[in-house]
Amino acid sequence: MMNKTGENDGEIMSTSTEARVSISCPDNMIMVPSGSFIRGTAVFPDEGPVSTVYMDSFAMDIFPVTNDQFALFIDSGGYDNSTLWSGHGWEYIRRNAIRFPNYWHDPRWNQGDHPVTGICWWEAMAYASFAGKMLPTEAQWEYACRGTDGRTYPWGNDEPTLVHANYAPGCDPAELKRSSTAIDAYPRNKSYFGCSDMAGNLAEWCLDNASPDYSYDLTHHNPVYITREDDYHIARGGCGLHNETYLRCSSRDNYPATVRDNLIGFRCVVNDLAKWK
Amino acid sequence: MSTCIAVTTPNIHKKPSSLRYYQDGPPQSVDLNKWQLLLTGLVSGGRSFSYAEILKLPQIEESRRMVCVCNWSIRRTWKGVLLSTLIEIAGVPSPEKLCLKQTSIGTPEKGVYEATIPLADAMARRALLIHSVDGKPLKLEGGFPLRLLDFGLYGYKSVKGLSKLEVTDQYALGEWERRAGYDLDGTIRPKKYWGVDLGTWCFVNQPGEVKGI
Repeated sequence: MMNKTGENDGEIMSTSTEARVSISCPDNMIMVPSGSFIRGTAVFPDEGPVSTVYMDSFAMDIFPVTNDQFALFIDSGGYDNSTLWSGHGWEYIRRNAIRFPNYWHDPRWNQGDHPVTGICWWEAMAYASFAGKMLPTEAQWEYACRGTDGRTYPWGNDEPTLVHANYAPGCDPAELKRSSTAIDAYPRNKSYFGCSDMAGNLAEWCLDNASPDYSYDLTHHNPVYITREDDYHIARGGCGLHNETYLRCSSRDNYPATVRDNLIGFRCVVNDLAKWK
Repeated sequence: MSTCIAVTTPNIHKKPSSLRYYQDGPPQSVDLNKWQLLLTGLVSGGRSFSYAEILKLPQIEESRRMVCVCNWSIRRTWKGVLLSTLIEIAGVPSPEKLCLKQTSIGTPEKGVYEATIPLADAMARRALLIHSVDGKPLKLEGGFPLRLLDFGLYGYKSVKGLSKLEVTDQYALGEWERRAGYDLDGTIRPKKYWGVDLGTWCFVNQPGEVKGI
């Protein structure tokens, strides 16, 4: 794999994927250097038009946010702290008396090293605020997943098998009562820049609202599509209920901000690395 | 007596399990001699229909695609009665201002499943009350003895194993909206959907019922 780490403001210390760790990178995050990548495909209309997109550097969680991590948010009073929530989000959790993720007490989904799920977009945003981070834009997500070599899947171009990820051939999971898997259960499920578990298991909320395609993007520089926070939002990476095509780095899906189904989790990014220091 | 055309849906053995999407679960059994569909609420004349009475109404048999919010779809040949036929019998003066609340037979363990849809929209979309698919009566896990399908909406807005239809002015949240925050509206969105019968993906460009695929 070809790596171009010299574009990262001098913060990336190594050229190997395994050792690509910066001394200034937040714990358990990967530094994704500034650079360009090919966004989108011609496979589906919503993934086009294909174009080169320029991204500033950012740090991304190596793994999705786990139940253990989310427990810290709960234990710290995250559901009672209005300063962590947008107005819409605060109103939504108050109106619905939300105190925990939707599957918090279900052993098929609540294991400590499994990604948290059953969280609406606002819960993901509130956690990110709690952690001093942000949700990734879908461009950040795709860049971190696909890197600069145009690969199809996070691990490369090998077609997925059940050793790569937790997914459902034919959209029909083998188990009627399916469950999530540990964030490190699939060692091959590692992206170009070294993020794990991006394909399958749980899709991941992104900052962007749903857009029909990328025709809105006129600058091709750190694109993000924002309409209304209570509108549909992008979820990336597919889940244990979806099949191979969702595992592709470029595949897009979207759900209402209110959805708290066991399809979606999230991971965070840090954009202002100087401030983090 | 109603007769059906025997049709085999391609790849039907690969259809995602109906049990996964029958959230209240099918009843152990349904005695057709006792089962009735109650049509009530803001109607001129509330009444109930036996299974035999449903079969005596004008029958519609159509090949149409249903879409699950979990991103798969299937085109099958459905047979039943237009929702508008029952609404006409019951008498609803202004359906454009009203909704239809559907309630399932349910089970003792999980209770009933409810979903509410705009009535006039459903009638305009030729929603069906279905008793047979691919030439055979619905199976219990498929919604026997009668299910509704509004083909412009995701499947969670249409109830299997119906026991009651209530015409109401309350556009209330249903089971899946309450349980997991899905849209009250439930209109099928432009997206890619796995076509079970097609064995491939199809991309839908317009909201609403998927036609021509």
